[in-house]
Amino acid sequence: MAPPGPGADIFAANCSGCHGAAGQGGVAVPSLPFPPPPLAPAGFASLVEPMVRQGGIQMPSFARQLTDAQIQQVAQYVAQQIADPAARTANTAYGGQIFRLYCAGCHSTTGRGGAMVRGRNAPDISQYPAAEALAAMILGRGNMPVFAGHALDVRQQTSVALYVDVLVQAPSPGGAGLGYLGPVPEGAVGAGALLILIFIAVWLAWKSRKAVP
Amino acid sequence: MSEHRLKTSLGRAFGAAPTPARRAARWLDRNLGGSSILREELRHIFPDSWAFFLGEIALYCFIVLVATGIFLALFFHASQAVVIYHGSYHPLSGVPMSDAYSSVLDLSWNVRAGLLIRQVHHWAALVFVAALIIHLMRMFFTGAYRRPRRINWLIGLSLLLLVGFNGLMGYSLPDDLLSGTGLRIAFSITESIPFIGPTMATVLFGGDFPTTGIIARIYPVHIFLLPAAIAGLLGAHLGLLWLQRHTEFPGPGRDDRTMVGSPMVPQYALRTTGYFLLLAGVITAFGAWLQINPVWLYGPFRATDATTSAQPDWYMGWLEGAVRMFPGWDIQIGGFLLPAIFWPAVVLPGLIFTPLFLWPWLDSLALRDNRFVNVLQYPSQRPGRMAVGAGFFTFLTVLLVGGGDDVFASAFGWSLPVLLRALQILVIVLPPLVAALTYAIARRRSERWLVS
Amino acid sequence: MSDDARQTHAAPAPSGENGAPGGHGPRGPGWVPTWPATVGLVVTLVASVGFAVSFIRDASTQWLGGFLAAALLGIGLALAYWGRDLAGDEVISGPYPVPHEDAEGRAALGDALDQSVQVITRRHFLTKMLVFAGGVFVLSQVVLLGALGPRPKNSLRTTSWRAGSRLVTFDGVPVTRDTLAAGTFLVAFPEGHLDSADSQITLLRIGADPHFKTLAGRESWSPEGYVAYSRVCTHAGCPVAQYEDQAKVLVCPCHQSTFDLMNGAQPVAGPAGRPLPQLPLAIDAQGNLTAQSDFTVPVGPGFWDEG
Repeated sequence: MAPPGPGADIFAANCSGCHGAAGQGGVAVPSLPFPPPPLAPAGFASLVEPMVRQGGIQMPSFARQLTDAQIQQVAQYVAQQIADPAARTANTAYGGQIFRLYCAGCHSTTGRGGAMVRGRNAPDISQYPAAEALAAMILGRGNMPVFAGHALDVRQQTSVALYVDVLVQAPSPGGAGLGYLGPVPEGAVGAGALLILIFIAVWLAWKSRKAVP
Repeated sequence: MSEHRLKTSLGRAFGAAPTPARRAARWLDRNLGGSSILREELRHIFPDSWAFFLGEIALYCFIVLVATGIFLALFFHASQAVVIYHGSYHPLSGVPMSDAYSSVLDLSWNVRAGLLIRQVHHWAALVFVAALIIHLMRMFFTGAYRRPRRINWLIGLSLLLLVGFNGLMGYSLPDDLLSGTGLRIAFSITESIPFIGPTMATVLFGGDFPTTGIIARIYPVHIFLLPAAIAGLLGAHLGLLWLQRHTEFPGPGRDDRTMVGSPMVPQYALRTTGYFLLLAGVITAFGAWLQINPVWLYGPFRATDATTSAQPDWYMGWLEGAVRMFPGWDIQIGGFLLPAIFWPAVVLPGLIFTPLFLWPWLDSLALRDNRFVNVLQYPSQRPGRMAVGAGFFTFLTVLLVGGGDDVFASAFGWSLPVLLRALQILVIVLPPLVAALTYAIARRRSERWLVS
Repeated sequence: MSDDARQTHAAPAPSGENGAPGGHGPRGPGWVPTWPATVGLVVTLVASVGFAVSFIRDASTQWLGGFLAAALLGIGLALAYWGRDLAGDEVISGPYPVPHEDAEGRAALGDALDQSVQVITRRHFLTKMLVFAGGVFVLSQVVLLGALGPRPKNSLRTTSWRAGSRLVTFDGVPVTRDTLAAGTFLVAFPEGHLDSADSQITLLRIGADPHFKTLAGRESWSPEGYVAYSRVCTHAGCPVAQYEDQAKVLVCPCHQSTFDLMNGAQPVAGPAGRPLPQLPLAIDAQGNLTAQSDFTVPVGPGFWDEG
């Protein structure tokens, strides 16, 4: 078992009820659409922290129950003591490669989601903490198949989650991201530029038109 | 006589004071001759209507594109040699990618002003094609394509084709996931052509897709071959325009033999120079504050990777829409196969552009009217033409929406199959409907026109 | 066109030069303020310095581009306003060039051309040779296209799969009979060909799903409930990357071609016309999944002599 410490106590008091004493995951409860997932791929405190603070699709936020310091402690504890050690060898860029192979087909390379033909549309994953992606990979979600344990091992799952975290933060040095939906909004905004230019042309020609003899 | 006029005539009579402009004129005449022609051209007449600025938008976009393109060319590597990325954008650190893609990342993240110039280049390209199309619509609906401007109509349409194609080439160069996906589809379309398709595809791409030399092949086409062709045709387009002069809208004092407008120098020259700078400013503002084509988020192209919301730039959207909406009618003929994609991707563009190219001749045949004209028509003066044009552009617009159907479905929470089916119906039903409605309205307006 | 043909309808509006408006004369009825142009030029002055400074300090794209845009807009506004409001409303008119109705001139041109042509065509044999040799020369240059690339040969019909090729994941890890549970899937490649675009497959384990239809002639292709389909779309060649678990369909993200996994990957929606080819699978003595052979039909988008 994990050694005692402040993180262990916080975990035992707040997390183990759903995720199990050793983070092995819980059973489905009628009130929850999905069972609480095992914490094996949660190998980075940076993945755990936002989830504890903001909560996810069904996990509540613990920002009121826990102080910032406590959230950091429990996140460290989960990453160091609860998660599978293999998770800590994960790598963001490697996760990006897997993301583009397996995930971008439905969620798009920017993670903003996409249309499906038969089921519900794939959601915009940038709205949730990246750890939510781990739960989806482990449990599957509706039309989304299970990846964990078959297509992807723990290290690969964690890598994907680290990359999803990049997409959540969406580096945007070029200005407003236009929804990160690619050429469609870009084309619409480009039409706006043309409208501005036509407006300027109308202004420029207005005076001369009045001057017609 | 105003004081100004008086001064000028006095100057002429008693030998002008040697102002810098006069000295420049003398130098020009001594070294080049032809001052009388030049003097006349200073007073070249330009019409005063905003509609004549549409072509200028396109022209000035081209200038912005050449200027920014030169900057980009200094940093782009047209090579698909595999490199391991270790640049500033950490989420791709250690990922194998083409030298081309890596150089675009460096250009965007490390070269000072690199991202700005890249974004300005891309926005200018989007506005360029849009301006060409609006310009073409203006020509069409006002009858500016009639004799003596039929040849220039052909040149203008050729420019539209070349510019659109060069845009596609530029889209393909960064070798990101969207670039490669576009090339993959281009290969498949080429392959679908009967008899020559497979050979044509492998010859153009240098082998079966994905090949390692296609970026190096596209690069000179994008930065030299097509820009040179565009510049040449643009020169011819403007040269003819200069010789024939602009058309003009009807108005007092105007007819097919008389033109009214502003002189080139100084009024028009000041206005158009100002307009060019305003255009450059607007597009630069877009490049500064609106992110376009963030290739670092898309990742390098790999033939096993795919993304949803994969669209071409907007001006290829009608083709994308046609390819999505056309049903999967693969036809087997003996031992041969005619793939479904051949119809929307090869035949349809031909069906769209052939009548456009022939339009001035079709128009004069239909009306038995081949007169030499300089005065424009108002759109509703010709209800038939207005109906044909409205139906035509409605058709293209529905196709364009179809090209982004998955993005609309995803962004607005719609069902994609329902949207697709609706568009498949609309693309057939809406154009004739819009045409009929336009005809009825234009007919009433033109009757009122004739009465007044 | 001569200058006399033009008439000036309106004299140049009084501008700064002759005292009236320009900012320093009396504010008569035609008075136009100059301050907009001045403001524009001041903006350009300040923004140009801002641009250079932000470049030197390596500021963000927004600062750099904002200053550049402001500099361009400022001077653009000044010049446009100058031309529109300060340079006066001079409206002139003149004749359009009309095509020569001068039949004599046209006939003379025709005669001159005709004479030149006759100088050449008089030599009948030489003329014919010229056309022939010139034509053959131009045609002969077509062979240069051959330098661009090979003819397709077999590359469009075959993939890297061979009898006995082991299936591996994108990382090169062999796929065994225990890798997938029923209802899950992964993307696989032939061992040693991880970058082979046309060899990528979707491997799924159907298990004993009663809805799965085994097509005639393919009874031995899906051992232990493992089924493999080409992952290259038969429409335009994109990877068929969307896997809808509940509907058991594969969808191509490029044009939404939809293939039914339970029925031989037949197209059921979207623009594809042919099913995804199925790869015949086997399980070897060590429990690794292998291919029985290459695909039995060409993978990917259709082409003319595919049939």
